[in-house]
Order: sequence, then structure tokens, then C-alpha cells
Amino acid sequence: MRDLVTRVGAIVRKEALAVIRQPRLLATLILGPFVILALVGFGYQTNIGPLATLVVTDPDSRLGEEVATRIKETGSNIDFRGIEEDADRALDDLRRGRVDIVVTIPPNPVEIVRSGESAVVEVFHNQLDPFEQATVTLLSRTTIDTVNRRILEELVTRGQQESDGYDEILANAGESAGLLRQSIESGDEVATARHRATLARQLQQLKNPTSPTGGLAALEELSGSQQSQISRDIDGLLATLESESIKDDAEAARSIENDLEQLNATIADFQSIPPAVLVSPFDSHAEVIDAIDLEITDFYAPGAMALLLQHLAITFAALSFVRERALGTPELFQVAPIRPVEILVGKYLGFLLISGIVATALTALMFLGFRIPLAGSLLDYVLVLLLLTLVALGIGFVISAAVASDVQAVNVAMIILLLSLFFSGFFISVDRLLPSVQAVSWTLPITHALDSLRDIMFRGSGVDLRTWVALGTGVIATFLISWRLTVRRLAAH
Amino acid sequence: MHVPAETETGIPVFPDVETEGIEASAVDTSAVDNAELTAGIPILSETIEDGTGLIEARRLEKTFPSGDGIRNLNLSVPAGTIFGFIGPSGSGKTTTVKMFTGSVVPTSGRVKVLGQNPTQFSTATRTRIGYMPQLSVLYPGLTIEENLRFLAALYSHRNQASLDRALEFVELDSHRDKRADRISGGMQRRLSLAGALAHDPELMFLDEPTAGIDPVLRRKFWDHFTDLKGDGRTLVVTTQYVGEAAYCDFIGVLADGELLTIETPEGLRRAAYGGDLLDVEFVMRPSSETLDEVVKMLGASSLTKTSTMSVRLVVPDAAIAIPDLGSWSNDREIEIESVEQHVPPFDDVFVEIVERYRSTNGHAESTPGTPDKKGRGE
Repeated sequence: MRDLVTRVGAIVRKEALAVIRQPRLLATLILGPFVILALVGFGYQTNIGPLATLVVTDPDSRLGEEVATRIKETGSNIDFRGIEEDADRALDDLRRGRVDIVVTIPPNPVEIVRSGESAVVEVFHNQLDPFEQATVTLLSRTTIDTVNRRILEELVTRGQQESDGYDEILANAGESAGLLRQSIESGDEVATARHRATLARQLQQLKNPTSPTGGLAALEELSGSQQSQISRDIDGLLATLESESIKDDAEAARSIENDLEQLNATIADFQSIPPAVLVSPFDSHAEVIDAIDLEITDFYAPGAMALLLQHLAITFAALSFVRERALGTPELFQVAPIRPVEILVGKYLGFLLISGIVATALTALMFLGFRIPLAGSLLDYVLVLLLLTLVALGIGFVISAAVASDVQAVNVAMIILLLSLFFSGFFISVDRLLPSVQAVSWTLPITHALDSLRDIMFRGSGVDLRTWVALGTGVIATFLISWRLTVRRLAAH
Repeated sequence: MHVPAETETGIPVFPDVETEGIEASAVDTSAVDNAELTAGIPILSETIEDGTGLIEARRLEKTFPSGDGIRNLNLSVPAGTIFGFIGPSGSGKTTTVKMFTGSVVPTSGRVKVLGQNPTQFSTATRTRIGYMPQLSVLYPGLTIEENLRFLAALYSHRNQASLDRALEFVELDSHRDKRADRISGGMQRRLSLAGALAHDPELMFLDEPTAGIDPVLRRKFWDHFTDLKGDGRTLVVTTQYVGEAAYCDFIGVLADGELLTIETPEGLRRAAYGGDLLDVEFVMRPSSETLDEVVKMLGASSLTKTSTMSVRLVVPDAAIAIPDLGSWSNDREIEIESVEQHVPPFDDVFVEIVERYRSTNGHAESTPGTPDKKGRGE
């Protein structure tokens, strides 16, 4: 047993020393990717913009000018560069990169709207990146929505201001309704007829679009909620008033009096609601359950950690036997009493030691330096990383036994890195992939590890059975395959 | 057909070569039938199972896809000896050693080393073997001491004192902290040798241990090898320096994948020329009749005129021939200026043997000269 420990220990020590004595290799494999990811974390902006924006519109179009003004006031995402009359000149500015987007407003928007169609505002950009295209499209759509909403808000505000005259008219109408009721009750037909006419005139005044409250009618077309109800109420009152039976019906007159009081209360409600709420009565707020709030850099931290560790382990292991063959050491191993499994175990332990040191340093930096949250168990986190590292080492040893040169080994390691970047859920959620392609994702050990690490760190949950089985199977399978390949490689020929 | 004679250790020596038709001017080496060389290759025991050698090989062959390899190798290496392999580049020295260490699987034939098939060595058997490959196998990022400790640990060896002794022996103890990639090629060879010796093996395979080593240290190495032999160790050594054959107990000459002969150093000289070489200088120019008489009287296998006054004779035994020639000179009143045995350098011996083999086998290669320094797959 002591002899066995001596032989395996020799391999462990040799591998550890060989790596430590190559500071450039360490720098390339560890510090390089880490610095890049840290820079991305620091420098990544979740909000796009501000986008330099040029608006093309007819200078004589008041609505066009109004829209341009609204775009200017949209927010920090838009850097308004002015109004341009000539669309070609504006597009030339866009091609030359002087502006980011060009917004063209149709020359006759009012006519288009009156014809019952939406006036289409075109937004031009010069982005090739599909993600940037989607972002610009979304931003332009949001901007136009905002402009539409602002216009509506202004109309509502104007309506509310104009409905201020309602108070007096309604008060007069209420008074007339009271006088009508009294004249009916006293049987004074002349007074009844006079008050009836007065009340009818006042109600018509409320409905008349040319009256001081004419904005109400316009609002009916736009928002159609409370205003429509008010209009229907007035129509009902007028119908009651015009009925011949009202001359002898004091109760009907009282009912009109009550309805007018209620109408007054409804108008008061309408005036008290902010225009923005009236225009957009519903808003949305999304919240994740069973997880902590994350910054974008938080979310990518476990992925970066897993990818770095996997790539490090695969590269070390992939180069390992290739380097041995280049040095000619298999010739010594074939003669010496050390067995292939002892060499393999020694290499596993040696690289695990190096990976463990690197992982500890990166973990400390992540949790203590960058304050990435850890909601779950540190032990679970460590165990998942341990299994991932062992699988990665196994994959690396299989590569090492299969390839003919260190260039091939590095190339295969890079392909696995790319595969992991795109299919592990690091950049693109696995759920966004076709089910058949998801099979590729779940074949990768890092997909299981990353999914589990995120759950541990951000949901505070433990490691599920699926992860244990997937990673455990990966560790055993890659060890057995690499063992067999190592035996074959070291066998006499 | 010659039957190999056996030495006291049981190793057969190459038989004397009979030469018919002695010519006055020169010995026609091609007259020596190659069959005499190949057919005379000694087999140390009739059956490997019954062999007593530490290494026993019989009809051992290795054929590579290129067609090169080793053909019909038979030998036995007794314990406590130094067995040297000499041969030109590509002759099969390293392949032969690798078949003995288990790195190369023979295509046919049988071989046993320390009583086991090398490809099935047990762990215990492997610990009894030391191996120094032809090219230095060292980890460039490790220091000299770390490399040595690693090599020793492969054999489960942990004794620091023996590691220190090995470093001291190869004169690297004062450089122990230098990295292997920052030392000279000669120092790397010395370190490799220390790695093969550090665990004090019983049987050592040293593939060109003195390549790139300065003459003083080479001499020291061979002195140490001799000491190891004195301690009962067995060494199988390949070398590019033919002169080092003198340090070996037995020498196997390889050429083109065939073992041409196995001999003691002295026997090798005799095998090369068919006997001892005797240089005779006459006072007066000898006549043809006189020379014929000398040849018949001494039983010389050949005679070569080296000048008008002197000749070189190949005689069965110089120690007998010299006094016989003195007596004949007195009897016949023919004055002889000088008589002395010529001891050819091993380089010449080696060239003689290989050229003779190649000329009789129709090989196109010229004189082999010095074997390669870096040749692989030999």
C-alpha cells in the first residue's frame, strides 16, 4: 500500500509542480478568461442608448411637430438630434453613422387617422446584430406607444379641464329639477312647463359638443368609459323629461333630481382620476417567486465559474497524456512497476488539486469580492463543482488519449467550450431550444451543473436527484473510458 | 559448419574462420562465407526453459509495417555480466532492448527476462529492472532532483540517501536545483542514467548511456558499470562508441536487424579477421617462396603485403606464432627486422564485420562508420 501511495503521489506531485512552474499557462487559462468575464460583468449595460434620433416630418404639419416633440420628451433612451425635412438626407446621416435611428412621420397623419387607419411612423436603423435589431425595434415601438399615450393623456387632461364647467350647469340643472318637482307637486302647470323647458335646455347644453364642455364628446371617442356612461345618463334624463307623463309625475321629477346629483358625483370622480391612469388603466409588474433579486452579473456568475473550471480541467487533462507522449515518458511507464490506473488516478488527483485551488480563489473572489449572493448551502455548491471538475477531467483524459497532438487537444477543448457556451444555458436558456436540440444540452455535464448551481445560489434549493445521477454517471463513465484508453496507449506495441 | 565453442561462462564464442586459398597479396574477405557468420550465431541453450541466463531469447523476431525489424535473434545473457549491443544506425539495437523491457511485443519467437515474459512482467519483477531510454525522458519544468525523485518513486523508491549517491555519481549533486530544461544535453543523459540506477536494480537496460558524455565521465561511467557487475548486477548496454566494447563481457553485433555475432571483446577481433594479426618486417625483400613457407609454417589464413619488406599475417594464435617465426628465421638464416602482434581498434573490427556481412548479403550501404546518435526505432 505504501508503495502504491508512493507511485501515485509521484504523479500527483509531478503534475502539480509542472503546472505551478508554468505561470504563463496559469495566466492564460485562468486569469485571461476571468479578466474578460469580469470586464463584461462590469461593462455590460442592460439599457440600450441613448440613441441619436433624427425625426423626418413636414414642417407644416402641426401633428408631425407634436409627435417630434413627444419623441424628444420620451426619455433617456432617445438623444433627440432635431427635425429633418428631407428623408434622404436623414437616411444618409444614418448610413454615415451620424445618427442611430431615423423616425419618419407621414406627411398627412391627420387625414390618415380621419380615414380610420393608423398613421404609420417608420423607424430606420443600421444594426446588423439581430439582438440589437430586436432591441431597437422594441425601443422604437415603446417610444411610439409612449407618444400615443402622451397624446391621449393630453386630450384627457383637456377634457377634464373643460368638464370643470359641468359643476355650474349641473348645479343649475339640479336646481331646475327641484323647481320642476315643486311646480308639479303644487299643480302649477305654467311653472312646470317653464322649468321643464329650462331643464331640457340645460341637459342639451351638457350634450352639445360646441358648448364649453364639448371636449367631453371628443373624449367619448377616445376613452369611451365614464364619458359614455355620462352621455347615456343624460340621454335617459332627456327622454324622461320629454315624456308627457312627467307633467303629473312628481316622482319622475325627483328621480331626475337624484340622477343629476349622481351625475355630478360621477363627473367629480372623472375629474379626480389622473389622465395617465385613465389612458392606461392597467400596468404590469413581474416578480420571480422563490428566488432573490439578481443583477445581470449575478446571474452569469455561476455560469462563468462553471465554464472556467470545466475549461481549465479539460485543457489540463487533454494536454496531459499528449505531453507525456511528446516527452517519451510512456516508454518509462511501460517498464516501471507503476500501472496505468495509478498514473490516471495520480493525474486526476494532481489536476483536482490545482483545480481546487483555482476554484477556491475564484469562489472567494465571487462571493467576497463581487458580493454574488449564495442563498443555499456552500457544501452543495462545492460538491457540484467537484463533480463537474471530475467529469471535465475525465473528458480531458479521453481527449488526450484520442488525439495525436497538443494542437488537436486544444482544438477539441475549444469546441467543447463553445458547445458549453451555447448549449449549457449560459447565454441562451435551454428552454428556448427545440426539444431535439435540448437533448444535446442535457448531454453536457455542465448543463446539469449550471442549472443546479443557479438553484443553489439564487433559489437556496438543494441538489436534485437528476443532477446527482447525471454528474455521477459522467464521472464514472469518463473515468472508465479514459482508463481503458490509457491502458491501450501504454500497452506494448 | 562450425560448432560454436563455449567459454567458461557458457557463452559460445564465434568460431575461427577457415580460409582456403591463401593469396600472397591480400585476404579476400568476401571469401568468408556469410553463412559462416549467420549460421554460427551462438545459441546459449537449446531450450529457453532450460536456460540459466537472466535474459533468454530464441528465434525472436519483430517485423514493423515498414518491413524493418529484428530477425531470428537468439541469445542468452548470464547474470553478473555486461552485455553490449553494437550496430550501425537502424540495426535494431533499441528494438531489441525494448523487446527485453516489454515495450515492444515480438512478432514471433520467445523471450524471457528474469524468468518472465516481458510483456507480462509482474510489479515485483519490474522493480528489479532499471531502464535508461535512448533519448532522455525528463520533465522540463522539474528540477534535476525532482526528476530523479519522480523516476525513483515510479519504482516505489523513497531512499533519499541513494538518490543523493546517484546524483553524486553522475556529478549532478551541485546542480540539483536546476530545471531540466536549462541543463545541457550531457547533463540530461547523466540525469537519465541516475534515474535508471537510483532504485538499485538487479538488471539494467541502458540504451546509449554514454552518448553526449565527455570521455572522462564516460570512463567513470564504465568503471561504475564494472563495479555494478562486480556486485552481481547485470547490464545490457547499447553504445555508439565501438571502443566501449572493450568494457563489455560479451558483445552482440547487430546489422540490418540481424545479430551477426556474439563475442568477447578479444574474440570479436579474432572473429573479424579470422585470427590474430601479425606484422612481420624482413631485413631483405622476401621471395614468394619464402612467404609461402612462412604461411604454411605458421598456419596463417591470409597474408597481406604491407610494403616491399613487410607483410601482415592472420595466424591462429600470435603467442605461438611469434616464437615459431623466430626459430624458423634462425634455422633458415632469414633476417627479420621486427615481429609484433597488431591489435586493431574496435572501430576497425566493427567495420570489418559489418562490411563483410553486407558485401556477402548484397547490401548497398557503404561502410557503416559510427552508428547514429539520435536514431529512433533501431
